[in-house]
Amino acid sequence: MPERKIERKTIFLYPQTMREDTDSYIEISQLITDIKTIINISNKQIEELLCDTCFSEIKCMPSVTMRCIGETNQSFNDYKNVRICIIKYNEYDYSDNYKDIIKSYNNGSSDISHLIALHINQKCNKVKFYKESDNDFDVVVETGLDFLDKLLISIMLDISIYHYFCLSSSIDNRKRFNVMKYKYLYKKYKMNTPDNIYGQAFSEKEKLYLPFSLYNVIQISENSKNEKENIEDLISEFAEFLVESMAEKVQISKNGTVCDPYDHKKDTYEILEKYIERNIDSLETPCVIIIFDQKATKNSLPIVLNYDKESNRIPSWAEKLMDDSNGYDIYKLQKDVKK
Amino acid sequence: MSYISYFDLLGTRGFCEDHNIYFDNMEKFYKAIVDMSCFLKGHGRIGIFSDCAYAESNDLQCLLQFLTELRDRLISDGLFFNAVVKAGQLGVDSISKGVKPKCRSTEEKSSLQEDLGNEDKPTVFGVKFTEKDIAKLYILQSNFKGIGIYIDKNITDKEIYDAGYRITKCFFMSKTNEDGKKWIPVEYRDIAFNPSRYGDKSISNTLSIILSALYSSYVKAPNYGIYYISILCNIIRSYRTGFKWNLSINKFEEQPVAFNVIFNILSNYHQAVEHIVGIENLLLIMLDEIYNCSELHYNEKRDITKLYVNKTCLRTKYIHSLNTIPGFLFSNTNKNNSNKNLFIRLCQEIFSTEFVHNVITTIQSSNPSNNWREDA
Repeated sequence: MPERKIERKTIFLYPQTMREDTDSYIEISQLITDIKTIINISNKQIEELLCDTCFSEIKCMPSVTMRCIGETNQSFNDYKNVRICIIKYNEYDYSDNYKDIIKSYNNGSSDISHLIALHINQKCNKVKFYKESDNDFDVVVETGLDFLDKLLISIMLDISIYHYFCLSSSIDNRKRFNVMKYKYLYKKYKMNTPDNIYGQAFSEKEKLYLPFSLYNVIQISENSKNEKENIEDLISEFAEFLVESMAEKVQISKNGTVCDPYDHKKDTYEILEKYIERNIDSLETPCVIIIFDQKATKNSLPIVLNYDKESNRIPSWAEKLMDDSNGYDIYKLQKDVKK
Repeated sequence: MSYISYFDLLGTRGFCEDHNIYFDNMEKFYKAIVDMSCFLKGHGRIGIFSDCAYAESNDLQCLLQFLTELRDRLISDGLFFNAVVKAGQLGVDSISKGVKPKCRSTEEKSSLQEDLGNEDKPTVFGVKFTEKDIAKLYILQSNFKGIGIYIDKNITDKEIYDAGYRITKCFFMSKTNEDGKKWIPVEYRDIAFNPSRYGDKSISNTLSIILSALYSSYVKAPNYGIYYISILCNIIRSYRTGFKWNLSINKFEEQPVAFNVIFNILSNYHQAVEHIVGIENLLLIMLDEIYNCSELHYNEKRDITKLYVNKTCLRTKYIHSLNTIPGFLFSNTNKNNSNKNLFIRLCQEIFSTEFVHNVITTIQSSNPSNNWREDA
């Protein structure tokens, strides 16, 4: 099977500064140099993390590239990959620079599922995610330079792990996925209080982009656990998140028939019914079954993975898929005790 | 008074192996020069050709600010230059010559003009220099086998200081003229990095980029790694405060990040870099800065020296030939008060004590009844 590698380039935009104002130009110029250094290091670190840890296969190698908004250079018209924009640096406000980018993002020309505004505040030693009502960014992140590498690595790691689990590349799916992710993280980190890694209290109804892997990236930087263990934890947690958020609940009787069946549109449902029928005697519930769509797998037949029993379930799940069509369905089975 | 500089991008030949990398790196180089040109503040200009550039300014402060900001910006992109600066003039004269073709018919003339050029599209274009200083500048740059900003002798330390910058006494490795085979350290003056701009994390990041590029070049050929010695020397000389030595455990409690990193490389990974000729001299530069540190006492300096000279790379190179160490690697070249003399004195003390201790220990272990006493 030929190696399939998705390349996801993140364009990080910085503002064109007014050259007449020499003092601010000096300050911004030095800021750009500092950020370029951080991006250089972050790109190397993500490559090391993906290659040296426990991903069985690198399906997506993300990277960040910095560009100046308003460049006349013909090579930059890559609005569709713009993901991060510096809107503020200390007291300087550059929000007005990005109107065209936002327009492109809102009218669907962008290939990015979330547009991030960055406010670099040199006095800020942590990170804070929030939404501003007067701009169209999916999130504003306020942080200092010392935290920037962790932010970038967690954004890239999220992209990579999304493709590692062969979730759909379609833009609509990715946007829906962000909402699902927010709900899961909200519950996990009890984010109605400010004491969480994303920097403030949130409401459940908000729709905010948050990087899933931020906690693990912080742990790696603090050396509280080694890299490999952190990444193993991340992959496990991500799998749990997918199961919890995407699994369809199915009740079955003692003899293996589905309770309250309905006209199912999913191709995998028939396969599930046959699987239950064949294995009803040995099936222990509750359990999670993952069924791979026949067209999406490397084999000619669909694959059924009993998630709870597979001893090495995370790699085997991700390894079996050959494309990013989201070619599997997750079912949570529960035996109905009454029937 | 006018000041001129010539610099070129390091490693261009290596980029050419992949035209995409070459193109990207050239774009970064040109953009960095254009962006940083504002630091000349109207007091000069820059001419770019391929992977090199010339700059001229009547204001040394502006020229140095342009070069130092450019240096930092290129490093952030993983690129490096070697630049020289001297007092002088370029005498820039631009060339733009079109050739009118001799043709039989109007159609032929029109077609030929399109191919060969007319006065709007010159056949020959470029720049020539009319002042003699350009020759000296070019020779200086060719001989500078390092990464950094080489300040020529005709600019005084005071001029640099008055421009708001600090000189660092650095070195690069070069082959001698005698047989062209032996490498020797050659001293030169560079411009310090600005320590107040960078915290430890930022310096670590910059060092990571430099070391990554160093090793990547070194893997291709040992001589390529040698170019990076000068910039590592400059970093050591630039970030040289914050030493705290713990006498009881013989270790640093605090030291500058660059010292920690480079010492670690030369202690634990020396075999990985052993063919980079002259890299062990960085330990001497570090010791020189340690000797200059007023917070450290004599005993601490002695113990630190012992830690350093027991590193294989330094010991094998200089033990029994301490007098051959180039004096310029150390400060205070006044014969009576020289860090080099302090280093030699401490080495004599350390090695002779070690020798006697080893002899006594051998005798005592083979004949315990002998009451040999080590002198303090």
